[in-house]
Amino acid sequence: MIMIGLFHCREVYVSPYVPPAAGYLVVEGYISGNAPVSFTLSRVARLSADSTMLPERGAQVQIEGNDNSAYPLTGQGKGVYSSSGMLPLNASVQYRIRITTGSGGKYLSDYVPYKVTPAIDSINWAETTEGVTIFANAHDHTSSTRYYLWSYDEEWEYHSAEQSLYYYDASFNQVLARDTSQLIYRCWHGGPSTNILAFSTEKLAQDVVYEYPVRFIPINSVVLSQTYSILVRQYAITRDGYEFFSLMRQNTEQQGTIFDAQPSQLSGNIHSLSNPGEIVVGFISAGSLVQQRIFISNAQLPEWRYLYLCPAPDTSFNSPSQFPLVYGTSYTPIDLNPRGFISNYTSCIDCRTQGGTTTRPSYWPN
Amino acid sequence: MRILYAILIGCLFLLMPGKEGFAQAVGKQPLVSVDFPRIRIDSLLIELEKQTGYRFYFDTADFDTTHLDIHAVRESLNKVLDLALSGTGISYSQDRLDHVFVTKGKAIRTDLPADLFLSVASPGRTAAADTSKDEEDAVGRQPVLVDNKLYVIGEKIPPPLQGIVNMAGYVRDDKTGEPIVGASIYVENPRIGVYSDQYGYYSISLARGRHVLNVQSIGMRDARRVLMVYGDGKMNIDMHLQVMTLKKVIVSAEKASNIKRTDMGVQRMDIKTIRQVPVVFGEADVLRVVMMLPGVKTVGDASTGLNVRGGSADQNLVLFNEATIYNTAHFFGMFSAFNPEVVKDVELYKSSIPAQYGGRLSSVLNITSREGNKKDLTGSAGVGLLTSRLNIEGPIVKDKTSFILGGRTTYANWLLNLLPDQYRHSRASFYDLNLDISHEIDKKNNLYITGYLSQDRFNLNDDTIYGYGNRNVSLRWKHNFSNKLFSVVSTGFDRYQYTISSAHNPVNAYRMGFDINQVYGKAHFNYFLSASHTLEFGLSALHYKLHPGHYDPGGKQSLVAPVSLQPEQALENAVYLSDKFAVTSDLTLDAGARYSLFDYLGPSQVNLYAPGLPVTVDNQTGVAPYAAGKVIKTYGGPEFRISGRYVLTENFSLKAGYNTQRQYIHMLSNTTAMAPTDIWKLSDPNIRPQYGDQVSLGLYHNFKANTIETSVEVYYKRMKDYLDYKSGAMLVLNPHIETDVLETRGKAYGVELLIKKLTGQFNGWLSYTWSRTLIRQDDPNAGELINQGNYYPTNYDRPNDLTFVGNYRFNHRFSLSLNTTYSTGRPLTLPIGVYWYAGSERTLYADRNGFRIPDYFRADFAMNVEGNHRIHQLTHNSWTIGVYNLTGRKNPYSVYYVSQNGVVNGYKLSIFGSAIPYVNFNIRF
Repeated sequence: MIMIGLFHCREVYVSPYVPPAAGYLVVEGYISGNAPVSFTLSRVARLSADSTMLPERGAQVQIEGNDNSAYPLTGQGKGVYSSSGMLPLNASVQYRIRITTGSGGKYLSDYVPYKVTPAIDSINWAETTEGVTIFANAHDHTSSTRYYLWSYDEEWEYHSAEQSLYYYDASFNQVLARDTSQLIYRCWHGGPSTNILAFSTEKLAQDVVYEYPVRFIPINSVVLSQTYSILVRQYAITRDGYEFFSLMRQNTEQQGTIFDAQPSQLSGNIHSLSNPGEIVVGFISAGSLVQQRIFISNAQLPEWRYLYLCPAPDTSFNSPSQFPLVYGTSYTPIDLNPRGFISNYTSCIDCRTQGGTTTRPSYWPN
Repeated sequence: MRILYAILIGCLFLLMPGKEGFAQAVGKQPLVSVDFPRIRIDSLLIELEKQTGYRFYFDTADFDTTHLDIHAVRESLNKVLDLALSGTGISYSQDRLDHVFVTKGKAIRTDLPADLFLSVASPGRTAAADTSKDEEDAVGRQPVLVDNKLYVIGEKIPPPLQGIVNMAGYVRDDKTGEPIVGASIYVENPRIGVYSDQYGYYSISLARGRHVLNVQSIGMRDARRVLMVYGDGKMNIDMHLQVMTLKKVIVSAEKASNIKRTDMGVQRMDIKTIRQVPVVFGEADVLRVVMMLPGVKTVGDASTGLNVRGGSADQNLVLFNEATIYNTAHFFGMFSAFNPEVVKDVELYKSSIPAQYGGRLSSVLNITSREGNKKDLTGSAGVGLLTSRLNIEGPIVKDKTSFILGGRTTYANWLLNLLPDQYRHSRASFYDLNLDISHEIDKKNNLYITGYLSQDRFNLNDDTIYGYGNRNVSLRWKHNFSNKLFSVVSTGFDRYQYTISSAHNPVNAYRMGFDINQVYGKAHFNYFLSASHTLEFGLSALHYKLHPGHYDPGGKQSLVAPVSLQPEQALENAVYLSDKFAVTSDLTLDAGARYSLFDYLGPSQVNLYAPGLPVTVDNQTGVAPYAAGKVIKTYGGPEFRISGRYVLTENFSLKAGYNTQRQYIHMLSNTTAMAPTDIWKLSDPNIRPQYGDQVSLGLYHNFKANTIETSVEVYYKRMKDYLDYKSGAMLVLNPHIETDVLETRGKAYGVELLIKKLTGQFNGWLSYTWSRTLIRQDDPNAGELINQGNYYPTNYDRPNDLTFVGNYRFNHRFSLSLNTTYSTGRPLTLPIGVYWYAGSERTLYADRNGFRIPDYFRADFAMNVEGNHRIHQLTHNSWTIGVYNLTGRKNPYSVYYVSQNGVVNGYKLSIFGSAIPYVNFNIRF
């Protein structure tokens, strides 16, 4: 067809206008009674390619109940403020957060009810030709939850294309055998969820969450090339909280098709006491936290093929004079054969080049 | 070339068509026999000369190389000649001396017209008195170009002839019987002129006495009637299509009627003009061409929503044969819902909206479909890259009843497969069907039945399926009480509906639906009171029934609890009267008033809110129940439609107008383009109707014998209670939608410049518009101030707009079209910064529409190739080959930021990312 290649609808856009840093306060956290409470304070940054998070340090943060209880949080650095242990919170009390920033700005949230989060019924997954989708399932037979929020931490084990038994020691210009602590074949990589996962059952006759998709892994991705683990956390939130997260998702994740809603101003439940018109980003909720971890092994996915884009290993150089040139830059030795060391690109040998570390998580099986 | 035509010209000063002359001049006919499967005209004439012994005069240069297939046994000479020459543009006549003159175009008149000196009046023509049937029959259907015959109107009375009488009738195409709209019917000295209306009807007041009536319409050959007017009478005028082979184009004053018309801000286009304009994928598109007119904008390539003089897309009353079309888009807004094979013409009223129309703030777009061919069964078909079209038309009862049936469907999924990943799993299809029947009950009564059905279905890369469609049926009955008074009574039913469904997750599977239904009745009267007053008056009633949403389980396993929002119903009534008053020959006023009344009706549970507090869920104080049929709330008021024209010189006029509008139904949308998920909402106790007024002024000047029209129009417009949405508004299935919308005030102003050349080898227009549209929400009690209560631009505020549309006809079979358009990018809400939340970098938005997307520029090019123009062939073919977006510019439809894998990425989305070639094949049969 002649039309192929005619539609290039989307291209990267860099706005010629960079607005000045707005500097509004951003507050994120969940007031939970069954886990340490942790809040992150930061500032709105300039929109540019190299924006980094601007943590808000030196603030005083306190959780307050409408029973006149108060629990100060302590700064942990990087804008994180947390309680040292679990707070004795009560499901019949409403809570709020009070913040005084280092520069003297005073902020206070609305009171929010303490919601008891129902258990996660299961975390299951399904494979299609497109990939694997991981689902959360939950229900509340009292139908009092209705609004759910999830987040997760995931980690996966992956291997490099070849196991390297030797390494190049530049200080002595030698190729030496690795001991087990120096192996760079098995790595673990992961991180937190980056999408807003919120769902409402208000349109359903029963308060049932059936297969809410929390994570999609495209077919043959490295993520499921060995073993994968996901820890899904579930939070019960209020209707207002659900609307806040829905709008945040609509503004920041659901843009770009023809019929998308236009982005609009996001209002949370935290307000400035010193300057009532000031924007404060964030919505706080309170409740218990439930979580569940599952593992998926590559063995459960017989069709899953992660492809290493690596050439066949090559015999390389025995002469120490060539070591710096070869192993000092892009090659790593693998093994020794009668003609000398065989080697391959470091990116094929060192799993750490793909972003992970060789530190095995404590909970990892086998 | 036996004899030269020039010699005859010298002695014969009048021209008449052949048949007429022949019939009068010839008593007996010699019989001839011919049997030629393939013969040239000149050879045939020589053969006939031999057989009859008559002497034939002709010029072989008049004949093209057409070969005729002719068979006749012992037929009269004129029958054979009629057979041979019909449709060739060649005429013949015969004199008493057995000479036959064969000429191109008009036939040579071989004697003087019987009525030339007004003394002779054959009984058949003059016996008729007033509007009696005899007289109608006598003059009812005159052959074409009976230009110099004298028509006697009314019963002959002795001189002195004094006083004013009225004459009326229809102007029609002699070939298809279709009415000709907007034909100018006028007499010179004193200058009196009228235009035929949408039914081809005209009514003119004349002084008793002798007149030469001129009839002109674009694309038709000028007609002339010599009249002797004694009393009121009727005369139908058949016009002849301007035959393409005529090199010379005569342009006359009345064709360019923009100087003389009273209405301003009106644009009319026929389908021929629309077809010339290159459009994407070669789909002749009514709305795309309307968007090229000054003062009309749209948000982008994927929208058919018109923004007329700063109005929103829902402020246009889109009428398709009187039926209201709520969604004019097909296929993500890339096509409009109107099948070009069926459309006859389009009228857009931007400022002087006739008093008979109401209910929308910005404009009336009146799309008229063709009446079927009353003489022959014909049809056409078109094949394009994305759609195919077929239409069939013809008589049901010849000259009385005709039908036209058109259909269109698409096979566009292949196109979606070529789109970037985010659309690759999209699917879309649509179809539309039109059926129009027109029936002439008798001379005084005509009936028109039209039906329209459209359906779209698509999904956007996920499992949610969207479907929407229009269903319309209308019945119009036109009755002529007398020459001076006619009425059109119409009734109909309109429906717009959409459904959204998803069955991917069996527990959450749902079907959602929304619909608008309206039933209307309307009686319109047109009264030609006198030469200086034309009255229009009437009344209308419109009953709305909306189902604002239902949400139902989408399968057995679904746990969805069925929800159905209570239906809304209302009655909108209006009466109107307008008078077109010719104060002097230079000054004409058109003053109209309309009174509209809107009753919001029960049954309904109306939400009550604490007075003086923001309308929010928290401030709801209760619910008031109302019984069925109970009037819950009444809104209404007068609307004024006033315009005036003053002719400064023959080709220079000044017009001014003021009009007010009320709109009782609102579209609620928080998307840029009109989306199939937009809902419509009636005004109710919590949502007021929109009100708008506009003042405008225009200067019109024509040049070069009216072949070039220029105009400057300025306007200032105010809008009140236009609805914008609150941040994060939920518009679908919201039982208290009033808490999610804001009533805003708006203003729009601009200047529109237009240069237009309508005729000639080169035609087209160049327009420039500068305009602004701003709205504000500054009521702190409304719950949310948008942009601190300051004016902010609407989504379609695009100040500069320059458009050129041109067509150059090299010869009768080949023409080139080019259009280019430039406009300022539309406003955009850009992030004011980024923040980190829920594991990702995210954008923060504050003020609405503070920035603009990059400017828009596009050039399109098309070649139109017609097959040969022989009239007698099985099919007529034409090709359109073109390139849309010739420069391949990636015009942004939107600029957006999206968080992906934890970081914010900015993108520019273009609907058409490169030049798009297309080819379209059309066939007529």
